[in-house]
Amino acid sequence: MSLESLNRYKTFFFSGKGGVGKSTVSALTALYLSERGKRTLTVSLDPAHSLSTLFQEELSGEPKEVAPNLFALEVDLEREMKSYLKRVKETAKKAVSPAILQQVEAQIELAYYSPGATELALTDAVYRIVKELREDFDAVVFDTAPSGHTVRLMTLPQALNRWIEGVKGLREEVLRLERFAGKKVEKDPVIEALNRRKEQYETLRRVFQSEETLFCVVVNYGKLPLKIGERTVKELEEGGVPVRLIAANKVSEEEAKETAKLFKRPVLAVPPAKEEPIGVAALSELLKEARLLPYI
Amino acid sequence: MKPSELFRWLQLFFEGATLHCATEKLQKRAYYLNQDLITLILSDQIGIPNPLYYHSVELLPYLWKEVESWKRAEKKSALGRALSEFGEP
Repeated sequence: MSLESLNRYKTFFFSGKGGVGKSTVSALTALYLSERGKRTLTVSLDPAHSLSTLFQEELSGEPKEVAPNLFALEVDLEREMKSYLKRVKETAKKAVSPAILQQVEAQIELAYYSPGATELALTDAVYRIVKELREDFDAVVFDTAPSGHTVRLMTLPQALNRWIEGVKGLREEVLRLERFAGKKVEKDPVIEALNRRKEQYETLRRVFQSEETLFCVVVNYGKLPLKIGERTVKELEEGGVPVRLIAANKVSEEEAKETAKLFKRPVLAVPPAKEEPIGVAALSELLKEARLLPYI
Repeated sequence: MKPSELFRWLQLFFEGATLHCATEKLQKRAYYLNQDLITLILSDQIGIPNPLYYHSVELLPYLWKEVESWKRAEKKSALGRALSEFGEP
């Protein structure tokens, strides 16, 4: 069985413990798709970016062509967080009196270090790519941050939606009462902001659960990586995200078969590379050795 | 007194007696609901972490008036209410 069946997916997420080779497998998959004539974008969400090294190209937040049909970008999370909070401060400048602006700005800045900020910023980044770049490409491959983060990122939209509903309900009741009390209530910026967020969470949920999205957990062969892989699969599926593929990196044929049996899923088997797969040419060589094992 | 004047007078009387009081009640209720909203966003300040602070921070510029009164009055009482549920003094 060749890698043929990867062709029917449009969005790919590769997840797994740090150091198992998420970036390598992501790059291989993206390369495979691009070699089949698909305009493919590889996105690194991992703060420890390795796509630049793998493709041997200086990458930024905008797509850059690294091979025919193959594009790559690296999300700079810190910069995105700072620019988001700057936008919020701009809004504050217009909405509050200059006398208390400093106080408001200090309250806004706290968000940078607040718990959960990184995960939420990641959902913003994925959303932006889905919204702005999705249409320019036939396939998008996300190389995600190590396990824990990804699981939370993927299962977030549902929890977020519930929160939004709660807050929106409160605010709508406020506006209803104020209208009753004779106050003229026009468009409410709070409801508008909440609606925008709601649209974002809904879009992400649809992408994560779409039939055209492939979630893949990357593992190595060994007790610990397999155990963590199993846990990641379980957590993702409990969060409503189906994991349809396991990628076993640096494995022999026998080990790949064992992995398929253990996870009860098809396995994308990548054998150990003869030399470190750095650069498109070396990745292309390794790709020829990759096999897709069906689960029997 | 002309009938129309009497009618106007009666109308004002009832408006004053009922409607204004109702308006006040409605405003008060709206005020407290807004305060609850701020408690949700700034829950961190009374010891309950808000994992969604990063996204909800964008609402604060529009709600700063409410935040100020929350800081003055509600913050303490919201904390008091929360603690009393767990049997603290």
